[in-house]
Amino acid sequence: MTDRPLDDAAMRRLLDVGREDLPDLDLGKYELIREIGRGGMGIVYEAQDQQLGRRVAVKLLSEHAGFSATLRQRFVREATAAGRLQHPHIAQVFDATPDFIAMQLVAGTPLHETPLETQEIVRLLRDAAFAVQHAHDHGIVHRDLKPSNLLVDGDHVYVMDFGLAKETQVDSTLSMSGHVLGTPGFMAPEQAQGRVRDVDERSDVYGLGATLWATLSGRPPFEGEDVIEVMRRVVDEEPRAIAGVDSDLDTIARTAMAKEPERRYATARAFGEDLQRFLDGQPIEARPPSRWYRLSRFAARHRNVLRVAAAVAVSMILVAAVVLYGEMARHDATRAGLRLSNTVAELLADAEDHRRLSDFDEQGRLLELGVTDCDRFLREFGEVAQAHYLRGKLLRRLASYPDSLAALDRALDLDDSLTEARFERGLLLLEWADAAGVEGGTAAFAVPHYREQARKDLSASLQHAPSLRSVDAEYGRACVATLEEDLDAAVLHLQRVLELDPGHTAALVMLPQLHPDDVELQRQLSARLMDIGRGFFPGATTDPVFGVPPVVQVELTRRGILVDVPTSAGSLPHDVLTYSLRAQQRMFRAERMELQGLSAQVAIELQSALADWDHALEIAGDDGFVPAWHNRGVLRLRRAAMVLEAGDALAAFGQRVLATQDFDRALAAEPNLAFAYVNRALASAAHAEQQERGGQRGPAATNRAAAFADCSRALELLPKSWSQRSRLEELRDTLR
Amino acid sequence: MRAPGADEEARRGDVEALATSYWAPVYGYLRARWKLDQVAALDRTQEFFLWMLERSVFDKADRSRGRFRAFLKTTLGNWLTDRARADLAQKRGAGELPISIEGAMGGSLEIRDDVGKTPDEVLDDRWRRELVRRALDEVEEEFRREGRPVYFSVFQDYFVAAETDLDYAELADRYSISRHDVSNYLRKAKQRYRARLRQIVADTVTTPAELEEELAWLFGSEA
Repeated sequence: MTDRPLDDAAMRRLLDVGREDLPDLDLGKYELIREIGRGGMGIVYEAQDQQLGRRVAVKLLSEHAGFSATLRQRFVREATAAGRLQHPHIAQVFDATPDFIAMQLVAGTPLHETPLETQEIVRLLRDAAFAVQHAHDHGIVHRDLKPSNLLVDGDHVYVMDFGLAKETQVDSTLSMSGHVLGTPGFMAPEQAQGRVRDVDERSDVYGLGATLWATLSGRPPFEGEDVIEVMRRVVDEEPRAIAGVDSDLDTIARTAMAKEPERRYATARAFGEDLQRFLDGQPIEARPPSRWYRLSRFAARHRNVLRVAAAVAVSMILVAAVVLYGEMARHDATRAGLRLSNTVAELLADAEDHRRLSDFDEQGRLLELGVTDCDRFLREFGEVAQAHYLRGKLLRRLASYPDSLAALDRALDLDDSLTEARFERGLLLLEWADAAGVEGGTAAFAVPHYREQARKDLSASLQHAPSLRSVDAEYGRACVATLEEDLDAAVLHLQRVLELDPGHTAALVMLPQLHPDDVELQRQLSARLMDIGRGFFPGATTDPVFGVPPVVQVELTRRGILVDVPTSAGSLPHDVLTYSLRAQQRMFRAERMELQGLSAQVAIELQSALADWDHALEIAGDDGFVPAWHNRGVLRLRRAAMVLEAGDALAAFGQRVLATQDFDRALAAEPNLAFAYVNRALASAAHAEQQERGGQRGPAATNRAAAFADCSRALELLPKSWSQRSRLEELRDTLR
Repeated sequence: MRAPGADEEARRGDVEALATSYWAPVYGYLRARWKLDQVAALDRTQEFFLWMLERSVFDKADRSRGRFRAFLKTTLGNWLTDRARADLAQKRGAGELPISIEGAMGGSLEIRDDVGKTPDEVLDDRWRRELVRRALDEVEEEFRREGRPVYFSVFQDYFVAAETDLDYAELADRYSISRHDVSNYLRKAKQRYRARLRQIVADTVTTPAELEEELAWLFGSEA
């Protein structure tokens, strides 16, 4: 034993080194020193910049946070943009790479953990507000302002994590339970509702107000049992008055937290200036809301309570709520035209989100809303090419091909230079040709003509590519390449499409068709398609507990798709997984075809999907896996319905018996699988109905009782917020 | 730590090894407890280890259970009770060799750092230091044996010697290596130090759960 002097500081360092399980990574000039925090995005370390000889904070983006390469690139872009911000109250970003972000190391405590006098809180929030304004002046919105993102070092405040918040909201809200989380309580209502396009500087004003509110009152503005509850309150409830503080401060905080962005302070600076007025003992500018306003909010709240609850749930998977504009500005065709474009753009985006979730009812509803808007516009303002184009675009997605073509033709008649309309017509003709080719019959003769016309339209419009969105242009190029049978080029363009939009369904479907032999690629892409269908957009992280928000689950289950997919893929044989994935993909495709009215094709797809599940279960053996049993059961139920429609009651009975066996197996392995109870109840109920008609009273009663029991069990298991609950309760009541 | 054999020599060896490793915490504890001066405290420390040897404390069943630190604390407590009853000096046989701890002495005799702490805290604190010290010794020895002493020197200068504002460039100059080398050496030395430290702690416990507890204790509080 040597006599090694070890002073306290050395001991601390050495114990730190001993404790750390620092990843063994080469981060260039940065050397990790110790872990200082963990967040949704990854772990934060103190690190040494060896070139500049200074300490920095390094955020390692977690491998497990589900960030795709594209998303990482986006992080880099945003963090780099934020890196240009130089402000004494903004923690500076020094470096951003797809793996880590290096930023200013701030030795401070989060605002809510710092004991402060009211005056100090106000002063710090004022400084933060001016810092946020500085970012806004540079076009950067924070989107996640909350007490834990404000670090206090002595009398100095730092706003942390500029440019990093945008993509993390969904995962941080989804992955946390209501008890631990604070973030959703600080979200602006437009964020809680997932109206991503409405999020702007005023959302940050809300965040500042909510932070002030929380710091003064010592708790988050909105709390609840779970995330949905919190978010519902954010949208729905007014923050309470802050007890024990000057009423001016309460007014300032609650003005910043107004539900409607236009009622908040217009800028972060205005918020900061009002705080300054408070500090100076001058009258503030904000006024407490009028009585009339409070009454009207109260009324709105009761009117909207159900709709809002559903909207909040849906928003959690980034499906934006529909924003309908009020009365268009009359006799102002230009403004009205712009408005129409915006509305339709939103509707299209929302509809696309729903389509990706296989929520075709909602997709159709949104698209039809758009068509109605276009019609109204055309009635009011006469023939405008842009409106016809938008109408055609909506109609294409509704698979109303002839109407869509007429609208696009009209748009081009009115304005031959409307590139988007030509592009759209190209896509329409191609899609129509594909559909006609599949459907056969009278339309089939037109296919070659349509394809040629499609090629012309697409090529011509791609000459003016700058007026197209880059992802659209890439997809258009891929289509042209396919039409010209240049498959290599098509693959290249499709890959670029997927780089720009990893969830581009058309590309995901098309790419594997160009590589029919690449099993691995097929597997990967169909897995991604499935993820999208389950509500997981690429880049979003999964909630391991329930997988998909209940609302979406129900929608999909109702359509016979999903519930659970073997995410425990690692433990399953490769073939089982491949067959399951293909079966899932076929079920999706069947849904799409049904929408297009290709019923013959639907039956074939469903038959193939069934065969795939059979294969999967054959290989998996008796220990097979629950989703396969459940989903095969669902498919058999659907077949039963189809053969019954064709008049074969006996075959229907047989299919239902088999379906019930599948649900039995699924439930034996997973007794809490609520949807299996629902589906088994449906099978038993259908049995009972058929038997009653055949005069078999006894068996009918038995089946009804079984169905009743399954309904009850399912209702026990399913969350109270489940949107289809009343329908299931109705079914149960008819069985009593 | 080796399980002590029945053989007297082996047991003596064990206790000597033990005394060498853990005399300082015991010394600190006794000194804080009794307010003894250096000489008296050293004397008592030696007595304690001899008593352990005589009583074959290691052969007791409870030795194989639980964390060694806790065991030593309990044993110390028992010994103090025993000692209060009898005069240990008389009981000790004339032919007995004293347990050697001289080689391990040094600055640790100082109690400046122990002021204001309870005897238990003194023992814990000194225990922590011993663990870290031994880990450093072993890492240094390993690198020396491999002919790569610079690895340890860099680590020592950076983490132990606590020179203010020492940066990689200066270390690189000092040892005529590149800055990248500095970074690599530090990383390797840190890994090895971590591994040794964990191993040393592991040697004082018997189950993985205890290891977790003991590591949590080691890292959990301020040094």
